[in-house]
Amino acid sequence: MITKDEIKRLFELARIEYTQEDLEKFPLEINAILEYVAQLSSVELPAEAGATTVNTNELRADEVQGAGEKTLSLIKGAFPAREDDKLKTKKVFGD
Amino acid sequence: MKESRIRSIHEKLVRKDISARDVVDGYLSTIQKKDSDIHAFLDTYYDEARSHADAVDAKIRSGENIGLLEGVPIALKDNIVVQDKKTTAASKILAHYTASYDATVIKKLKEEGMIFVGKTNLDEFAMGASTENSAFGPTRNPHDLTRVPGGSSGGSAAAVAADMVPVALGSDTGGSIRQPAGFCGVVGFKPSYGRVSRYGLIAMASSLDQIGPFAHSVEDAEIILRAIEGKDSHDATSVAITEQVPAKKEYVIGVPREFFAQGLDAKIEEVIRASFAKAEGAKFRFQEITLPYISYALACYYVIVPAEVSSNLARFDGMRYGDRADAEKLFDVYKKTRHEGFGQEVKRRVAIGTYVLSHGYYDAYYVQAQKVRALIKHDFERAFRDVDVIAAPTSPGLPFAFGEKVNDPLSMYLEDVYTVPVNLAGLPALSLPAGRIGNLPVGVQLIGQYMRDYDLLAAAKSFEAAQG
Repeated sequence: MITKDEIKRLFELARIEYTQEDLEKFPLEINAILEYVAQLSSVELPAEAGATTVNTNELRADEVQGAGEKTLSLIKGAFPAREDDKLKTKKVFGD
Repeated sequence: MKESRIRSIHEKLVRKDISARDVVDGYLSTIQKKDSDIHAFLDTYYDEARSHADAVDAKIRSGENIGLLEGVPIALKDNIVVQDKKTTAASKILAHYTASYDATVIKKLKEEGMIFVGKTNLDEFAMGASTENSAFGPTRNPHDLTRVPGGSSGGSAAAVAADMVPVALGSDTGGSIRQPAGFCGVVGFKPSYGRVSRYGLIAMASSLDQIGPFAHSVEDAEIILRAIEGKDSHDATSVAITEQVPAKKEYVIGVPREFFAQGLDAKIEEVIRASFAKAEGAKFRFQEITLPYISYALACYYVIVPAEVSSNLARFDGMRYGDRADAEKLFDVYKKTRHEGFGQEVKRRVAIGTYVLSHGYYDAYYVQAQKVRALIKHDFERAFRDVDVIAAPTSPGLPFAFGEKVNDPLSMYLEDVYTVPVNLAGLPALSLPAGRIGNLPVGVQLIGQYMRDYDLLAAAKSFEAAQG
């Protein structure tokens, strides 16, 4: 069973702020779902059971393809905060 | 066989019975008339659609040949990016986002000359089965405005059902094309995993997501598949198509005992069985089969999906795109941005995903789910040794009323009980109209073998024709 403290920890790990209401609601809902999925532990696996893999996973050559002016300007236009051509963020180091 | 709207539009254009502008204006006026009630669209491109149509007409007038899809309108689920267009995934966090590039499917449809009419509503990031999780308000079912259209691609399904477009694109991770198609009484097709490039589809659960069409007929769904499928170097999981034109004319249909057990509405079972009875005969023979691990599919799905969701949605942190909340420190900017930008279902899945992937729980949940997934896939492979196609209900119940399930996540998840096993196994499947209960449509699901999508569609055309 997930407790309120564990919900706090999960939201912290997932980088989502929470409210008091979240702490009341989420443990109930999430526990109902975890109880449901817990039936997986009762599946008797054949000895040779392996995890599934996707059928194809083929990477292209790691080469720069270039984006073009329009794409570049749209990418810059999507920045939530910018200064000229640069993306603006809070300080990453320090404090 | 059901009439192909695409062919009918094309033939009228070529014969000059009608102009592309007339076709577009007709659909746009239906949107204007109906969409204030239905709310299928999040964005529309009236002016561009009209000028594109004028360009097609000029081409026809000058005597040039046009392709089958040229001048045919289409709507797009708003989790597929179109360059220079708002793309929101029905999330507040992307409410002001304009996409910088075209998804591969968009690039292909542009080359075909299809006319984009607008973007359709969905559950936020495609998480849901009713469109009630859209940050911009739900879509209503055209057959009964007090009921949901299904989801997550509810906007696309409703737009086709209400004749606001002849065809639309959706995406299907656990039933998000088939379930709304069933609820809205149209055809909805999920191709084999890897058949259609996911490049430019905003990722929910990458090992399951697949783009596919909504249409009024199986033939139209097939025409769209041919236009959008194919290997793409931008999607490492996409596959080269080698399938030949199907020659088969008679089919053995497997009916899984497990899909007709408890939980299925008795009236729906009646409609589904009646659709089998109509098809039974020269072309179809039905036989009961069993899929022993199928009862674990939903549990398996609701471990794998949140796990993939939690990592895929880590990119929405308010840094490079999307809305950003303000705070003193960087870490608090992330937290506040995601708190304000994500809805309840998204937060729930991110939290569950974070839990099942965390140290100490990873083996018990995630690894176990992957092993069960392999068993489910094997169940289908074994069944397909004896049968050509598997038939099942699309959903356990009828379109439900607004608010009926939205506060009970588990009951909403159970909506997908017959559709998620197909995604876990990567198979192609479609929902087509099987009949009605009152004025509400019931969908029947046909499931095919991996990468034998044309075989499945050929069988589905015969099945559709048998329904009369």
